[in-house]
Order: sequence, then C-alpha cells, then structure tokens
Amino acid sequence: MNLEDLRATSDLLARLDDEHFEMFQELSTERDLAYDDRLFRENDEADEFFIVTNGIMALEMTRPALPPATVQTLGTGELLGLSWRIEPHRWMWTARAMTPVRLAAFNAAEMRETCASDPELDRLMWEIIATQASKRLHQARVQLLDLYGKG
Amino acid sequence: MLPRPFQVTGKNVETSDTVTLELTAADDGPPIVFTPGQFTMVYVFGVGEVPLSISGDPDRPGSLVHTVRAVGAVTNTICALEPGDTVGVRGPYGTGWPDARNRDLLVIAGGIGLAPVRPLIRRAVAHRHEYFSVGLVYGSRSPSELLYRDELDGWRHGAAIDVQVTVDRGGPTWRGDVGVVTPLVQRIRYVTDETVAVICGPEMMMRVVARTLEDRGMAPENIYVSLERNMKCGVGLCGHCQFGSDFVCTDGPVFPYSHVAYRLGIGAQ
Repeated sequence: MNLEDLRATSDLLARLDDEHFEMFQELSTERDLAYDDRLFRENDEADEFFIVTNGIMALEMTRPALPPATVQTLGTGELLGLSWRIEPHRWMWTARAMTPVRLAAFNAAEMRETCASDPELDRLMWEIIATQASKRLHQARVQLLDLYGKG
Repeated sequence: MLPRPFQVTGKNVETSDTVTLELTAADDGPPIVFTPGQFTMVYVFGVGEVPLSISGDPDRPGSLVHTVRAVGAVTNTICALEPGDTVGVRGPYGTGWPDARNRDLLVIAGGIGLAPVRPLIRRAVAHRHEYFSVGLVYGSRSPSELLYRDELDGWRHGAAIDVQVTVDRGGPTWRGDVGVVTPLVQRIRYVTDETVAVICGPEMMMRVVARTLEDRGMAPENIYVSLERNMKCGVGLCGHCQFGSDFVCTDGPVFPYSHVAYRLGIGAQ
C-alpha cells in the first residue's frame, strides 16, 4: 500500500488537506525491512519518523538477561515515532519489524524546518502528535485494567 | 423449566482455567437447535445452575458445546467434569446475533468473549459466499490464554476471514500484535455504515470498541453487544438480570448498541 491508499483509513493522513498531503508524499521515501530487522534503538537520536504502509512494527524495551519486552505494536496506517518532534529528540523505545514491513520514512530535520516555515502544517503536526499521544495513553491505561482477567 | 439430562461426551482443555465441553442429550428429547448468541442454563446437580453461551456449530444441533471458564463454585465444578458425567440443561434462551448475510461482518471479541461469537463465525465460514467481507479481531491477555488457537489459524488461512489477534503481554515467542483491540479495529478497511459489527467481551472493552466504531462512521444500530448479568431463571420471571427496562435473559443477551449505549455508560453506584 502507498500513502494514497491509506489516506481514507489512516487517522493521521486523513487530517491532512490536499496541499499538505502532497507535501507529505514528496517528503517521504520508501523503506523496506525484513522480519526482525531493527529500525532504531532506544536512546538513539530521533532523526526520522515513519508511517507504516505495510506490516507490523513492535516497540520494545531491552531487559537485562531477558528477551526484549514488546509494549505495543503498530500496523498499517499508523504513525511510528513521536520523539522526533519532542525534545530531546531521542527514541524512547526500540523499533523492530515483526513481519516484513514497508514504511514511508520522513527526515525529521527537514520536516521540522518545513513546519517552521508553514504555521498551518506546524499546527497540524502538533495536533496529530497530541492525538496519537492521547490515544496511546488511553490504550495503555485500558491495558493496565487487565480487562480479560477474572476480576 | 425442567432441566434435561445431558452427558459429557467430549472435553478439550483450552487454557489453564478454561475448557470446552461437548454435551449430548441423554433423553429422547429433540436436539437443541439454537441461534448463534443464545445461551443455555446448565445445572450441576447438587452444586448450582449457571448461564453458559453456546459455542458450538449451529449446523450441528445434536452436539451442544460450551466453553467454560472456572470463575466460581459452579463453573469450577463444570470445568472438572469428565466424559460420562451428567448435567442438566435448559434452553436455548435469549436473543441471538443479527443476520449479517449479504453484508460485511466484523466480529470483535475479548478473552472468553470469543466463545459466544464462535457459532456466528462458524456459520460465516460454512456459508462464506453469503457474506461480503468477514473479519475477526480478537484480544487476549497473553498467548497462552488464547482460545481455539488451531481454529483461529484455520479461519485465517483456509476460510478467507481476516483474523487479527492481539495480546496484552506477548512473550519471547509471540510474533503478533501487542496492545488493546482498538488499533486493530482502526486498521479494518471495510468498516462502513452498512457493516454489521458484533462485540463480545468485558463490558468496558465493548464500550471502548463501540465508540471506536462510531468514530469510524458506523451507525450504533449496526453494532451489537452481548451483555452478561446475573441470570437465574433464564425466562424473564425472576428479575435477577433486570437491566433498566430489559431482562437480559429474554430481551438479550444480544442487544443493539443503540439500545443500551446510555445504560452501559452508567456504572454501578
């Protein structure tokens, strides 16, 4: 799938008007990952962000003497990476491909620069990031409730 | 109202606390013909009676199948039954899932909530050509607590059903999604105002999923939920399962979300 295919169902892309959607398309490059490939590592510089166009990515945290713990997965149409926009621009998780994955990749510095010269895009990007952060916080809280337990 | 004797003729241990029992009538009575979504009252002699959703194949009414999780005295005893043991059965009772033939069908289940929707999925699998897109989104606590694992694989690979599974906590060998079901619902591309969505699981999960579907543009009339309340008689006489103006045992357990949405938002005081 490409960004055009995803536009109707991705809550991120659906927020963009035609002009900014075209800008997104122009700024994106395709990236393919094989199963188990690591995309970025916890605490590295967050110099890119991504939209998953096919496959499943895992966000995980390394643990001493144990396999990494997956905290969340992100699938087709979802935004991967919020830290590129939030100081100090360091990844909070490690991202690994759980299937063969195709991504639309964006250069963070370039996007930040574009946002600085386009207040409307800047506002949209903050709105998108705030929405994603809010949704993920809600999902994490629901997970904490252990709904499928016997309680 | 009199329970009929049924003998346990098959048992499959699904997880550490959940079993699937196959029951066969031990009298000369008719087979239990049911609509997916209905339940029976199962009586363990000398222990008590509980409502159990039917989780078997609607095209095989001679075989009554229940998937039971051990959560109390009666269900603990049911889970310990072995082939040859006898229980009493009344029913089937209650309303069933809607007819989704000639429409897209999306099933969203959480935990033990997969059991009450299994008959609906089995019917869709057996009559696949009568449905448009069919999807299942299933959430569980961990990989070891997934129900019907072989069947899930069969539906995914052999029945043209879009099966997506997520767990709250994956392990080192888990290669699927981790997290709640709502992002997976978000990924389903064929959700329209014509889709029929059925949701079965913990009530909080059903509320969150129903709201997600509404945000995607689905009409609440096309979203169905199965409620669990304290059902005793099963036939609307005792009032134990009263839920506002409804009795869950006769007016439900399956309700259109539009009918119960407001009441679901009111928690226990």
